Amino acid sequence: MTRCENVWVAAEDASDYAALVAVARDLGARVSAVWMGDEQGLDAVSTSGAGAVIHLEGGVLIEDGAPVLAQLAAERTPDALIVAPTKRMRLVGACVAARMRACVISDATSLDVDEEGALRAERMVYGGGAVTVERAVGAFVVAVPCAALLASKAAERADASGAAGADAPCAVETFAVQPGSSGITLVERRAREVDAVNLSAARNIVSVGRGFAAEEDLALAYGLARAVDAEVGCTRPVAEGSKWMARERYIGVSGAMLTPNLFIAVGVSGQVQHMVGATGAKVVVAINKDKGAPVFKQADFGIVGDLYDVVPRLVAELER
Amino acid sequence: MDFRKTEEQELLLESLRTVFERGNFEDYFKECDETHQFPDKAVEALVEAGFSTLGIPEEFGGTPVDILTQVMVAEEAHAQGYPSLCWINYSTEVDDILTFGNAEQREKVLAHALEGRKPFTLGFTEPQAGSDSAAMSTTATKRDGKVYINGHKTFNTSADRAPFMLCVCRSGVNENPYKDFSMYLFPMDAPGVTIEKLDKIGNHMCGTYEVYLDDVECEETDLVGEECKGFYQLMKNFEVERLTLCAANVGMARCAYDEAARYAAQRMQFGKTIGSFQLVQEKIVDMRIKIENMQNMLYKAAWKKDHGESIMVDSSLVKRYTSRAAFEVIDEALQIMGGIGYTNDCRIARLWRDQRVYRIMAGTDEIMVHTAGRALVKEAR
Amino acid sequence: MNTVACYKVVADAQDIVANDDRTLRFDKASYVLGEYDLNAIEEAVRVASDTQGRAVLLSAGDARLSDSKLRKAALSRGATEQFCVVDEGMARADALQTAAVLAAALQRIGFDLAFFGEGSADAYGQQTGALVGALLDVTVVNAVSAVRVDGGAVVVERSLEGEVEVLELAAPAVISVTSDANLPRIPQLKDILAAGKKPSTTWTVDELGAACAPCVEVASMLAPQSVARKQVIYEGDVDEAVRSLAADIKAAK
Repeated sequence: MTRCENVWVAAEDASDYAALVAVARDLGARVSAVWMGDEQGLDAVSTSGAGAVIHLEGGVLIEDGAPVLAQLAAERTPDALIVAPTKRMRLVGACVAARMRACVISDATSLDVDEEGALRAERMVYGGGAVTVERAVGAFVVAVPCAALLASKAAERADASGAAGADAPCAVETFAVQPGSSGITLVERRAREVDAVNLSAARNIVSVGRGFAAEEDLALAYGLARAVDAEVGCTRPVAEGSKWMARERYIGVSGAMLTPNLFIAVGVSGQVQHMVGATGAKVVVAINKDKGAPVFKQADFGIVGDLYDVVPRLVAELER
Repeated sequence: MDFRKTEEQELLLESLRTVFERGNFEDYFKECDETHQFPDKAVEALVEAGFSTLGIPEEFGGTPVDILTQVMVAEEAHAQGYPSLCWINYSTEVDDILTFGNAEQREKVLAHALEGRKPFTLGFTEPQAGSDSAAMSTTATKRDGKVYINGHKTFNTSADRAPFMLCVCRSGVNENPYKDFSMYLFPMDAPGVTIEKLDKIGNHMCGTYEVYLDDVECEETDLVGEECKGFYQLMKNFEVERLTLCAANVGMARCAYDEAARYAAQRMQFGKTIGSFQLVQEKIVDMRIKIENMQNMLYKAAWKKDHGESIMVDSSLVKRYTSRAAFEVIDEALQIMGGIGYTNDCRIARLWRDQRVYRIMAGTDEIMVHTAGRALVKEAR
Repeated sequence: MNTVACYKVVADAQDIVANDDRTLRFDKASYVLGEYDLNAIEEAVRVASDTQGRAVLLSAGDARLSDSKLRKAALSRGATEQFCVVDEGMARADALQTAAVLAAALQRIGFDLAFFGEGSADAYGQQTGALVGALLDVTVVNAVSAVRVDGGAVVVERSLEGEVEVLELAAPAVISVTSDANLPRIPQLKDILAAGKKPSTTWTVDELGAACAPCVEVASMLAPQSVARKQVIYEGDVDEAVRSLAADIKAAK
């Protein structure tokens, strides 16, 4: 029994739809895919396994489509809208939620339906200090699966449908969007200076903490990351205070749930909010000069020592 | 009796802790201690957050605040590891000059103090005149409409950085030394001024110097206040200065205690934390008692001064007690740390070296007995 | 530009204690301003100051919101006045209910720009600002890392996953700022002293007529499952320690 019979999904990136549709189908739903992008993406969206596509076209910005989407939702009363965990889609999701007198369950680490058929989600709060189980009690809800959940559904889907290929294309309904209806005018778009990194997809992670005295010293961390085939992330003070790394590399902001195989914390003291990424890791390693640092209580293996001394030797030993 | 801090005090101390959290100064202080550098970065951060304006009158760009709050701020900074002798608040120096100085002197001093820079080094102690301040023999001699300073001052804090010296000199007018001292404010780069650094065992981030004054020429207007009233002028603020100094004792003791207590809670020996051994617990308990006592004594003296009560005896008691108790706390903290406590990797090692001078500086433990003892016996008659 | 910064008072995560059965205890927790909200307050104050406008604060919460120290903490950051919606129900309110209350209050207060943090420091739903803007039917945008007001034009930089957008917004607008947007000031004594004298207005949810039904309920909140870690920590000779650790790492990969 499910009250999630009719679920819409939406993303900015056409390649996210296969996973989103899988998430929605697991709730027992008929799925409609909402696409606010261009014609090119439409093909991938219409073969993602959704039963129907709602194509909103004509907006300059995705945000221009939000009012139309909200209006459609009000008319057609789906049970839920599931959106990809990107900033734009969070905004769109919230706009639709508001119109439907609902709200958003953000960064769900799991999504299912409870005994009464209501949408149920688990998520992290208090910077990783607590885990909640939340359920929809109204007629409509918006949910944002966390990046790790989406990634695992995408992997499942890829395994399952590997030989079968893409699903058959479904019917597409098109609606016009008024450019500028968001009250926002695009002045310019430019690429980010720093490379995008997806820590939630990383198999291994090296996390950099305040034990590093200068930006040049990060080379040590990058060296270690290369030696173990890992991505480099950091704690918030390193990224925001010192601004040595892009924000995507923070570990410990709520919602960034990571499940790496190996997590190496270098010069990280181990405060709860910085170790959120480690709790889901299979093996945690810590390097810190302070024997009393809380990180050692959360590690499987570690060395008490000066990272400037330990890391180069460790890299040499690993590369032997 | 309400022992709580006010909300304003709590918020101010939170702001102070934020400066230290953002600054992450521990390694920086270690480096500055090793290289004998003044911790400019930490000074800048504290000045930017407004801490150098506390206690300076509003009309001069400061934020007036009671002595108790100033003392709490100084204590907290040192508890966070801020090095002694480098504190950025010069409200008493400013008050000395606002009270006794002329307009030009005020302007000069205020500009530096508001930026957390020590405006003048106090020329007081001399090689033959330590506790026996009456034995000061630096002279200020009038000649051809100028004043010439000759003498030798020592243990001058930051003589290399302070732009001026406030020099206490014999005027040659009265036999009684206490009625013969005059104060002159002159620039440290005046001809005739030479400095020689002292090689101290601690407080390396702040230089301490001997200063030779060889016919240093001053204007008569460089006199601060009245001729021959210098010693009594200094009395105005010396009690508050002493309390601020004692705040550093309390802060350093707390810093050492926090580190030692943390270590005791996690260092394992013989299959247990050393904090589970009674001898270590005894140290921790007695250290904590001393910290409580130091704080209570200090805050009460500050409160009394804020409320117009005399702290003539109290300030001596606080100086003697906090200087000795802080030393004991830090020494025990080093003991708890064991071998690593004796290495420079451990912050307590620096605190141990730095705090020791407080039993000597600004009134020795023994002089405190001398000043308070007589008064107490007299009081009992 | 007249601005409003919205903030939330939350339990300090570090003070929360987990019982053996994973249930949580908040009795030792001190309550603080949400850390991401400090960026919203800083931005609201800065923009108002740059445009000779007025910056005020708005928050909705239970009785704790009226705590005098928290009031001063909020008002010591540059805003001139504070508005509070105090209601016991706010402790259990979901994002929609909270947004409805804030939207109603904002309508009463009036604003050109309303600022929110990226998310609340406790729930981090990253939605309240967006919900409020949508409920008010005004321009709404999130992920803003820079705000500039040029004449009457509001221009923002928005940091998205793969790109930065420069957008012009039609006022009035609700903006959620990222923690990159600014470095929140450290309140000085003069700011703290002045805070106690600034005006504060309190409303109830009923007075605003903003009550609405919930959309989501929290069925449980527990400490995360603790993973037993081996805690094999090497000390002593660095070379030996490194050799052992490298072996462990190779085995883990």
